[in-house]
Amino acid sequence: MTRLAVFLVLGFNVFVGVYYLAVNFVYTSLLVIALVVVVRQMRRAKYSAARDFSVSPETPPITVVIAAHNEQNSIRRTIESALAMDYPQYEIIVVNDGSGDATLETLRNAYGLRKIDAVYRERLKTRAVRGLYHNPDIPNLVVADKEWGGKSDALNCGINLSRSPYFCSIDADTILERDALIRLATAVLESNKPVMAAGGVVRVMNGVKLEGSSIAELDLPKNPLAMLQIVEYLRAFFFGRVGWDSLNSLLILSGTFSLFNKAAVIEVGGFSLGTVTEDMEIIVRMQRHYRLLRKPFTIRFISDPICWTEVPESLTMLGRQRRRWHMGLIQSLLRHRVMLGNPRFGLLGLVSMPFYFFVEMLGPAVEVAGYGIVFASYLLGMLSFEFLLLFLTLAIFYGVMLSVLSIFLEEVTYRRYPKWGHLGRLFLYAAIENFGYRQLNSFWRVQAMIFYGKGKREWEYVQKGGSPDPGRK
Amino acid sequence: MLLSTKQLLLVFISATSLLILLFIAVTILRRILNARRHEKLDSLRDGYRLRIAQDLAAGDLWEQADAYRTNPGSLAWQAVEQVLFEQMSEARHRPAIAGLFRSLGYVDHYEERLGRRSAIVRAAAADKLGRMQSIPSVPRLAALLRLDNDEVVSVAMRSLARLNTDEALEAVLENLARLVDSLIVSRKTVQVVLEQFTAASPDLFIRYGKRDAGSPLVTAFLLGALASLPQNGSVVAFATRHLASSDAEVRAKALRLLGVAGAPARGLSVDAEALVPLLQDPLWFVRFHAVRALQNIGHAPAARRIGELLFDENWQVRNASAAALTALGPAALDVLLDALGHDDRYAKESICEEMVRTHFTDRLFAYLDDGDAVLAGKALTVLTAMHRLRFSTPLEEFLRTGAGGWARNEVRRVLAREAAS
Repeated sequence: MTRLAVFLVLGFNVFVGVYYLAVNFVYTSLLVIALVVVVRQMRRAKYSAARDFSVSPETPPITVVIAAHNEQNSIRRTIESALAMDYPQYEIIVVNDGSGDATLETLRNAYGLRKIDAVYRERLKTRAVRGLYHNPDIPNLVVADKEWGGKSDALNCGINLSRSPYFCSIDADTILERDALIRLATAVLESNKPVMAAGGVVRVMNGVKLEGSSIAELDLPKNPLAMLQIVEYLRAFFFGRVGWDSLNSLLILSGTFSLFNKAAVIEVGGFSLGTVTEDMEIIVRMQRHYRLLRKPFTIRFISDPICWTEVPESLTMLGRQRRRWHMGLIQSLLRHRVMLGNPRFGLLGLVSMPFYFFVEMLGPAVEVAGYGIVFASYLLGMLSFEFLLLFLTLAIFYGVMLSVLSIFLEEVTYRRYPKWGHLGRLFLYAAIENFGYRQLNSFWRVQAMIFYGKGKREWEYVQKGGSPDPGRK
Repeated sequence: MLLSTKQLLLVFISATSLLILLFIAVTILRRILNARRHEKLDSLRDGYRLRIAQDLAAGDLWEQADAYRTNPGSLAWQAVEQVLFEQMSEARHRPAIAGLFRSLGYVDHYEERLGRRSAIVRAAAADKLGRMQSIPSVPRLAALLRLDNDEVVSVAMRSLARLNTDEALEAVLENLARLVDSLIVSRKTVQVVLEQFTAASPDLFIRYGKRDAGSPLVTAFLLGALASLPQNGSVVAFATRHLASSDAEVRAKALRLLGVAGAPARGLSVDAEALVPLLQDPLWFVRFHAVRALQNIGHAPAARRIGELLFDENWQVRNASAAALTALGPAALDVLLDALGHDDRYAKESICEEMVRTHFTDRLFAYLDDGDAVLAGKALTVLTAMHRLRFSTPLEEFLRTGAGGWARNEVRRVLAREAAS
């Protein structure tokens, strides 16, 4: 019995080692791809067609859909930033999703909106719309007030109201850079293959000094948790998205800022109401649907359109967000598990899906179990202290290297953090995040797996930034 | 000799630590070097900005050209280039600065780069030549259109469009069929490029339209481009001829062009009756453009035929039809009245929606006070139907803020009667 236990423990240690090597091999490959792609992208940006498209009547109109639930504190800022965009023709549809606060009143007062008689046609089934609001002096702004149905339901309502062939979903606490939409659309319009969806870069807004709806000064937040997320976002967007995009195998675009072909979304039935992360689910579903149809298409991540959003500043809220994200990942991957390892889906089925399944989804469990078993092995005298220390050091150093490299990429490309103090703090947090923060994330993700196993799948409210909680659903 | 696991871990740790230090060092070093470079560049730009502005104002930029001659690639070279580009934003300076770019060797420098292997270098050079308004570079840019690299071809096309000469347009049109057939550039890129040739003669488009008549896609692009240029009689004739095309996209673009050309403000004679049969085209977007074109032309005799499309199977056509009828004014009132008496609630709601959206309701209120009893009666019937379909807000608004005593009384009566019933 003891021999069997020893064998199992040693076997698991070997498994952790091999798993660790395989995962890092993939990360290193994505890293190399990202380095090449991002630098080339920046050189290309100098002769981008965005300026030509921004003044052309041939540029198709876009609907910006903003799903808002209890956003009285941030909604005006988001709308102001959307109204100030450099794009030839666009409409903004704000969907007030059963807010319990004064979101609707704030909008009505701020923009002089009046209830209008308009027909709401449900191409996608949604909860009842209570009213539509409009001001003829701001012809491209429409507010829909509806019963609470969740973000997917609100986005579907926005799609029903949209009169454009494309729509862009943005969060209600987000600020778009003026050229973000045209840069995103340019990639779609210049493509020879139909682009079903395209996503841009999401940056952390905490700490940024605003003047109205525009960014007056870029600064870093004082809150350490927000700082850690800045490093994390840089890594996620530079490596993950850029790397998978170049392999045409994206499984996720951030719902905070993504552009969609409306007809393509309607064809797959709109945003799913049964998931807690509608952004990943719609992308996986579109990949599955259109690859099975064998039609040429693409889903893109574009690394130069930028939007800014708030992130949670407390452990409780961050824990909720990360549990939700991981639960959504599990839901989407299990719902579309037929794609896993399936050659009919090309690289997506053979590389991207297995990576997300075995690394992104199961990785936290392996990591948490690994900590336990490796320490147990050490305590049982099956692992030398020296070996334990070396292994942990390598794991931490590799993590630091990935984060440092993403800061390096930021420096050679966008340089949004210009002060020396910014650079120093970013490097510092690139190191710090490996001591506790990363492990905490794994813990939350394992929690999400346990919750999922228990059938608990509801959306947990996340308060971002420092704004007060108005009592959300 | 094989390394032990411990040694292997140590090697990995050392390599990773070295990489971390290397990236940190490179980031810091790069920032220091860039800061110095930008400081120097800023200072050079400030100096050149002042001198160039003075020389331009004095009109002796050309005489002072030697003062701006610098080594290609140097910071001073970049500073001069950037300042000259800034000055080009003023149209009156463009010819002088374009000549200066050539004289200072910028054009030769970038033309040489057009032959490099890297697509990014070639595309960047093509972009610069376009921005420099280097008209003599047209043949070099045109040569790029024969390549298969979509990036280089797209940028070269855009640069040719910036030059905006007949020669540049001919270069694009010569290659258009091949480029669109082989999908080297996207449709939107072609459309945006063609519409930028604002100085080109429409006859050039027509000539190539006749030459490439075998390619419907090219014809559609040319018709699309002509819609954004000043039209003349031959453009109208060219578009009218293509109304009978077997390709739906060509028919749609021809309709769109005729709709623009036939708008009352343009003063061109368009045979609107030739457009009417296309209201029954089997393809929805052709019907859609036919409705829009007849609306733009203001062809009231087609109101009844347009009204038939209020019940079209496609929602965009239905909405366009409702919008067109509201735009046609009193001539369409009978058609609207008939439609509002129909059983199709969707169509009726679409009509009401368009009447509100286009502020046609304001005209209906005006008809009430117009003095024409028949017209006022029809307007009242339409307003009553709107109220029954719950489009009451304009009536209530009018009651609060509208002028015209008799009209307000009538509206009040409609609201009261319906409330009672």
